[in-house]
Amino acid sequence: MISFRNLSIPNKIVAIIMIISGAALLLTSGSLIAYDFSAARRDLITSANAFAGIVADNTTASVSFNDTVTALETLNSLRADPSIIAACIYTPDGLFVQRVIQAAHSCPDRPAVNASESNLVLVSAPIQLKGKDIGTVQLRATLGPAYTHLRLEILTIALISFVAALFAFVLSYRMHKFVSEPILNLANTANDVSRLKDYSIRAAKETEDELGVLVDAFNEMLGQIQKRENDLEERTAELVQASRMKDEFLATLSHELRTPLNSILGWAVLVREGKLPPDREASALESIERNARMQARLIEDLLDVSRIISGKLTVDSSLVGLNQIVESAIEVVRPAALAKQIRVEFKKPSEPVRITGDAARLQQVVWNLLSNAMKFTGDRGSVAVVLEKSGHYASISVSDNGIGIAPEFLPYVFDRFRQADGSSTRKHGGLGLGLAIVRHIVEMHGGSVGVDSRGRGQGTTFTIKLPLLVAEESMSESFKVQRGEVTGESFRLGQGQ
Amino acid sequence: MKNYLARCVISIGLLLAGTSTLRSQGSSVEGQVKAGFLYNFAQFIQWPNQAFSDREMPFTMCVTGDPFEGVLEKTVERETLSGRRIVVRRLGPADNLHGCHLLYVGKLEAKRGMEFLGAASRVFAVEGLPILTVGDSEDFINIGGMIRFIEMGNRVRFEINPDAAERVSLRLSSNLLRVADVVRPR
Repeated sequence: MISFRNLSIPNKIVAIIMIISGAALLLTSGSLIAYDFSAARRDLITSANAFAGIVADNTTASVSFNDTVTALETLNSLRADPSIIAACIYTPDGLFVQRVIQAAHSCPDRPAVNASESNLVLVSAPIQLKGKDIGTVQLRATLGPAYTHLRLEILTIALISFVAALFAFVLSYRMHKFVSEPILNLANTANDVSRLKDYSIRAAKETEDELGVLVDAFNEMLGQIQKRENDLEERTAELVQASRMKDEFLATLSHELRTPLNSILGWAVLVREGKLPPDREASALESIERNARMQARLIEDLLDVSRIISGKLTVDSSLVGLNQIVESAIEVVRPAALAKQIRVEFKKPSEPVRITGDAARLQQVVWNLLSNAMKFTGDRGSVAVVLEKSGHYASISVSDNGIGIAPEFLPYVFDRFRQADGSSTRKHGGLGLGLAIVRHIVEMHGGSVGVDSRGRGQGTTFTIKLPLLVAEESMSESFKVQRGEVTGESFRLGQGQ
Repeated sequence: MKNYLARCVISIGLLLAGTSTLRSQGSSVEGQVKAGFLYNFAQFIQWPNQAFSDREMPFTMCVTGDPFEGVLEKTVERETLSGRRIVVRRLGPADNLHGCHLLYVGKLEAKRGMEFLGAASRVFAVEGLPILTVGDSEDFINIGGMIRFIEMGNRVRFEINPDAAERVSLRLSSNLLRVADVVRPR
């Protein structure tokens, strides 16, 4: 047996419409027929009674004068009504005259009391003369013609019902698509989405009804899935990038730690064997010391980065003269500058520029920028350092005429572990941590750092801005805030903004 | 076919009514039928109010040339007309028609019949009292009578001259005219 629940929606709709229209049709036609059926008998009795009365009135004289001819003439006038099958006139002596259509219904000798058959109606009317009964008219009427009429009516209704049902069927079959088509479209869309894994597909909204609401909800859900998917992809890319950068960094780190160690080991062996001439021994020891310091510097940078990530990097707060800090930083890099024959200029205002901050860390910042400039500037190049006040800030810019930075890399220069590319890493060395440390320290002082390069081979300018002397309290407040922010951020590796 | 059926029905009706054998049972049967008819005529005809002097005045049937041999008296003795008793009066040669409502003229020669009819019309002319005239003789209508009995085979029928009745303010029921042969005097 087919359950209604398992029918398809179109069939359900068709079935519902058919059932409802069928029930309505059945109910109306049924009550109509039932009413007509009961009305037929009532109408027949009414009309037969009326006829009997008329016949009785018109046959008074015929009965009085015993004139059967005129009585029969009167009875013959009943032929207009086909439902009257027998008409009988009785006098007290018995049957006076009769008019019979069907022999089976001929008049009995005495007035009948009941109709012999259920589809017959028997009516009587007294024939009165001056208030005295002189006879009786009895008519037998059949419901036959009425039933014929009813049968015709039932047949007509059945025919109309059939046509109406056919019409409803065709109509509902054509209309179901208003419901089922949007649902099927939605299902197809859902299938496409899961098959193609394309969450940008949207179902077309065709109607403003409940199905439209369903489509909206479906699209909204897809939108959320798409957003989640995009977020996930982004995050995955970030993680992959970060992981790749860590790998690169690990390789660079190994290389950078190994290089000075090779030099130290080589010179140490030579010195221990005592095969060097005495004048070379001094320079060998010097080389060992320089390489050891370089490695110490690398490890110091690593430790700084580690402190930054764990939020443990702290800065002192004391009055600092930037002139001296820049000068001592230049002094530190001067031997390297001499070696590459790089000219270093320092342009400073006549009066000292003072800020509050950590002298050692600020010197580390300037030194970092300077050594960066040295590293990426060719022999006989030039580096210019400018210290000046602009508004509420002290500004230190370090410009070189070195290899410059490609515009696409500019946004990433301050990120940890970032260097323009593998090959430059190999050529120029370094871990790519210096600028990240610079930015962090400057921001902890409430300042900012910027970079500008007109492209490859066009040189680079780094500019730091540090707030000029402000009240002690707000300074320390600013430190806390900065540290908090940077700490929160430092768990994220890579280029997070 | 239809005619045949109708004839069958008529004959059955007549048979059952038991009024078909006038000849075989002699003149008393004919008298009974005519006596009944006279009473019936009175029931289908309306007399004007002035025909009766008061509420108690009986309906008077005057009979001459009596064919009834007392049957008429028997027929009407228990009957009434609109609450009035019915009396039968036999007319002698010298009696006048004063107080008669219905005059039956038996089979007399035409001369005597005309005398009675003339007397009846004089009563109407002088006193304004209408008298229904019923007769048996063949030229009864022609000499001014209103209703004439006809013996057709074994049945008794009657002719009516409605003009003569209406002339004296008698109103005939249409039912009565339906069962009668309506005639106009030549």
